[in-house]
Amino acid sequence: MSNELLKQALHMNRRTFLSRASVGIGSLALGSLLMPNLFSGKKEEDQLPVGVSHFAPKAKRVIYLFQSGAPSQLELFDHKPLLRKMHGQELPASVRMGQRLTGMTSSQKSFPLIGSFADFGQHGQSGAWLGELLPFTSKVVDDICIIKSMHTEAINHDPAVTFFQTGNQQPGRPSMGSWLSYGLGSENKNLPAFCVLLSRGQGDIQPLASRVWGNGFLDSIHQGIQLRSGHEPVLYLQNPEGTDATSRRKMLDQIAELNHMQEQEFGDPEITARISQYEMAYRMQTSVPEVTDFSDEPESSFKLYGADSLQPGTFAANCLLARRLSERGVRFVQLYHMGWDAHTDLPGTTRRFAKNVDQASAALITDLKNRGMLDETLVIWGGEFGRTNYCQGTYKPDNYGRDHHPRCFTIWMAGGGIKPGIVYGETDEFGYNIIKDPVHVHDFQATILHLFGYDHEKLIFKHQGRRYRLTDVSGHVVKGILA
Amino acid sequence: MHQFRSISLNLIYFLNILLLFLLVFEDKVQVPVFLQVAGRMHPLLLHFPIALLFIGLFIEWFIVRKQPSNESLKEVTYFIFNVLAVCAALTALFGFFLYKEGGYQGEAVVWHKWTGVVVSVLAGLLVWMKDKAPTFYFPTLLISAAAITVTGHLGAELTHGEGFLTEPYRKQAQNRVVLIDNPDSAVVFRDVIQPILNEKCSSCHNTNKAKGDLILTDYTSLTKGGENKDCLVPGDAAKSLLYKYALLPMEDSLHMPPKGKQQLEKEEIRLIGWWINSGAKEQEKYVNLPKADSIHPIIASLFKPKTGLDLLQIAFADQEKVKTLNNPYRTVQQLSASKPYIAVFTGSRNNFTTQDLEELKELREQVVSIDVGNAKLKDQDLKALQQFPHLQKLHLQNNPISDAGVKQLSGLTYLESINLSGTNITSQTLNDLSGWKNLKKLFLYNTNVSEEQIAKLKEKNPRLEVYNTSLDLSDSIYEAALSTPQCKIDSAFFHHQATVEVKLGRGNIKYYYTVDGSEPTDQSILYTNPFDIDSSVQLKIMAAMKGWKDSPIATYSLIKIGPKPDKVTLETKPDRKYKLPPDSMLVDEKSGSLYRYDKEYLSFPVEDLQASFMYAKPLELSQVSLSYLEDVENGMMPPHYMEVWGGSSKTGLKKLGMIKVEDYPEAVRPAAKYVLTVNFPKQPVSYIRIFAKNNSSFPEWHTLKKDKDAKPRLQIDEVSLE
Repeated sequence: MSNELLKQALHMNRRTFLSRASVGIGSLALGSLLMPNLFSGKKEEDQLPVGVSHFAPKAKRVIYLFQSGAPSQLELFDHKPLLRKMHGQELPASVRMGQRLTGMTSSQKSFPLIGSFADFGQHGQSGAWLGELLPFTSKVVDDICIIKSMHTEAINHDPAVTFFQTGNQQPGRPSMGSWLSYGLGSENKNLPAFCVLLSRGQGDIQPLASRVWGNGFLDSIHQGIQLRSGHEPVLYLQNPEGTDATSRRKMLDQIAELNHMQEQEFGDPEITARISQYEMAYRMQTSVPEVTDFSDEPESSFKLYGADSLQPGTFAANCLLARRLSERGVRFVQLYHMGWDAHTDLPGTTRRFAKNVDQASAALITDLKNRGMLDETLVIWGGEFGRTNYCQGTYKPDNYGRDHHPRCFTIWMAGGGIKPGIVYGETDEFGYNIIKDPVHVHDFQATILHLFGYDHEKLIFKHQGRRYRLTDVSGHVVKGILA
Repeated sequence: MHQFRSISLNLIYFLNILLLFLLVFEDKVQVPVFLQVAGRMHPLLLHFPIALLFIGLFIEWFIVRKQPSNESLKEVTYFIFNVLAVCAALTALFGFFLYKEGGYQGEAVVWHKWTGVVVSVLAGLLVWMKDKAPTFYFPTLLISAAAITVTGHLGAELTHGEGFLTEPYRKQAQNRVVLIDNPDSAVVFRDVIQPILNEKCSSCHNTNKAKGDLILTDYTSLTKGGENKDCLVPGDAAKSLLYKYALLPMEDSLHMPPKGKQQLEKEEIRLIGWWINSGAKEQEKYVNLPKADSIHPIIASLFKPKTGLDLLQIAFADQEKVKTLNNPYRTVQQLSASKPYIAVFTGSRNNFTTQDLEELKELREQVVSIDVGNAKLKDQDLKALQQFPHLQKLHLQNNPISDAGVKQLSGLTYLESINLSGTNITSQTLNDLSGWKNLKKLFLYNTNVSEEQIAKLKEKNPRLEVYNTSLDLSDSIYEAALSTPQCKIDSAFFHHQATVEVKLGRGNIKYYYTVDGSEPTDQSILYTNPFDIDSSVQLKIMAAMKGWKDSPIATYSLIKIGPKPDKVTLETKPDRKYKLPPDSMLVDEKSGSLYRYDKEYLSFPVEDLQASFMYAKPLELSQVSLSYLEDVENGMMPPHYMEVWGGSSKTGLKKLGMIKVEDYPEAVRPAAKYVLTVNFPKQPVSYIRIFAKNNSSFPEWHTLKKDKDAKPRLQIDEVSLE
């Protein structure tokens, strides 16, 4: 029986072969019509050479001052006199409209509204309202664009930070800095294109996972490199004890020779990538100490950034370092100041943290402007979500907390093609919902890519059978904030 | 001949089916590159079916009809019609590919597509009818001829523009393109409004096709209006349908342009409204109209002059060449895919040589931006920049260059922005900026140019943006104190000695400290190197530097651990959060941090601390130290005093000594750890009791005084006996 089947299967002459083959070829041709890249043998992402944008870029570099833990927009940026008037009264259900809450306040029976303990004032020519806790930022308000209508999808820290940085709440995608490094390449090949600087405030601090500055599925060359504050800014960069520069050089040359042989045999491009990474690490042995050594900074810099900038590892010192890195062509400097999360004692925390970051953030704007860098450097300041207009826990007149609030919050951006001196978007008088010009996190990301000359729908990477982009499947460029 | 016929019949059949199939799935079809090439052969191929059809028609009509029995003639016509049908199908197919490549829209192309398909199908049918249905043959042939004429005409309109054929008859429309680089001289209707109408409206409202009888291609027709005369009501945009319909929501059937057509931008609608409101005159110049803040930026952006460089039409550089010019110390990048301009970054280099610039000779036309900041550039090096005539942006910051060096760059006429921050230039450079005709931005931060000189410069060139250190650091807002110093102490509770290391700040900060509990001043001990402590002390340290206020004082308590008691009993019980901590926590040698909820602390709300310590054998002791956290803001207060009692057994204890807290807080101060030490004459004891007095309530000045729930707490860390 099986013999019969075999015979049948083998029963093929030239004619049947040709006619059947023609059907096959025909369907292939049809297939290629419906899926244009079926036979091109070319990865889509290779089509644009590295460093050449889709259109003329406005910005060349980013300094992102991430305020991890979520600062309260209601004490710093979003002036809501009504909350003071209704201080202690219940949040109307018609405002909340069943919005989900975190596990920390979902069991609360009452949601008393809380007015800001901080007073607000208008500043600059734009007349933007700012809380009294930001006296320095108030001075540069005409150079920044305040976006009051940010909103996000996540309600807890880790997913929200991950969402902001990678465009997805689940871990695994490349960080924004990695995307830009991937698209634009590096300007100074003696330093990483994507640097990360951490500082922490005082108190009970939410941890931050290093994967939020990870490269995801992009080449590891695009991952964020953390510069530490101690005497060894980049780990494992210095020569081991007992090895001097000459022998290190010799060793690298020998390894490179072996690698070249290997490369000629297998032709794997990863091998050349490895060689160039060794070389970069070698060059970083001189370039990193040079950038982290502030002895060439004039006294006025420290005055400008504040006393904290004299103390390595503080937010102020990191801002100054960020400027030095940008000056040397680092594409993306990501700062994180950790600990804004004020579920209790919001007044104390906000006061302390505002003091930590206000002067240095404003100083960075002034400094970049003076040095002729602000028009090409995009500065971003903001957290992962906002804080609620009602009190978390038992309400006391002088001490209160605010829970996580993803529906509206405030960030600011400056330089690099952003329209200065404007306030974009509006929230309702309760500071709960957005009533004008909402900006989703993906919109924010699309806008950043736009400033770098990229169409966010076209900066893609194919991985595991699908094309990924920073903005996932949504996002619109926010034209209203472009200069 | 038979074989030819069977192949061609199959081919005709196959191609037409494929064509119809693709039409059905039109939305899903994306044309790959190699077929786009085929698509572009459509204009070549299309001539064959036209020619063949008319040749066929001619032969059939004038020759075959006369000699119906001529077999060889029949063969010829068969041949012609077979080739015709194949060519027609291929042409239609290729035309479809060309269409899918994009760039064609509107009704004409749709009509062209469908008539083309009709021709292809009819040509196929002709071959079949010739034998099988001769009665329909001639009519179909004539229809085909008509169809191919229409198709060809539509195709020509697509390629050469609408009305191409009849163009010579029509009076050529005056379509002046005005090159204006200054909005002031613009005629608003001609230069702003009409172009918008041409782009967005005229495809349906023109002389050929006037929907609603409205023509928007010239001013007279516009004022005339269409079926409705209110198209334009000068001076009242709200009544003018031209403006009103554009503002209607998309869902409204009256909204213009209709759904699916290219929509007006917000700015364009605003411009139209503004023009109507300001009188809607044909010849009005922009300069004569009242300026509106919301309008001016839009107008200005419309008339942004082409920069000098764009006019030069510089060629694109070879990407491969650009790639080879990149090295670790120099980045050469084309700025965007659409323009040839290139930016060079070779800043922050230690061993810069002019070689780095000379190697870029081949890109001298394209390079518009160079960054050589922080590269130890000298005056003579600047000469190498002369070779880039199109430089628009130059970063020379933080280089030891002077006026003489910068003078060499005066020939860079396209220069728009130059950064001279941190260089040695003086006002001399500013005296003659005439070479840089296009200069817009000048960065002079940290140079020898004074404020007055800059003010003078701004007066002379009001449009020039000058950046310098405008910030006055003597402003009281910058009068900050140094940050509180931080110490690294290997162990705050130690057996023999502890090492104290100060985390050094940058600059010339000096640290002064005391170990006797007194306030440090600049007369106290100067910190030079890490130092050792070998007894229980209160360390106070401050930072000082010239030009800065002294830092707040940091307080650390270091406790030398004495012999460990055999039994510890807490006679008053601390607050418990989760479970009651063991009594031995008082001597666990673990130090709590400044974090007020640190679990290393025993917390006593309102309650006093009373604890006893027992040794199995009497020991010679002379000192008891108590370490606690003070965090006034959060209600963690120091005790008022501490007493130490001792003796040989639980009964008959003698008071050995006491200490009062001298610097009891009178206002909020930074959180710190303190130590209280009671000294007494050395004596053998086996039982010690300590007592620390808590506060019954907050002092009057404390903000928590008003809070009924808040209680003053003692945060006790450790007790050491020695």
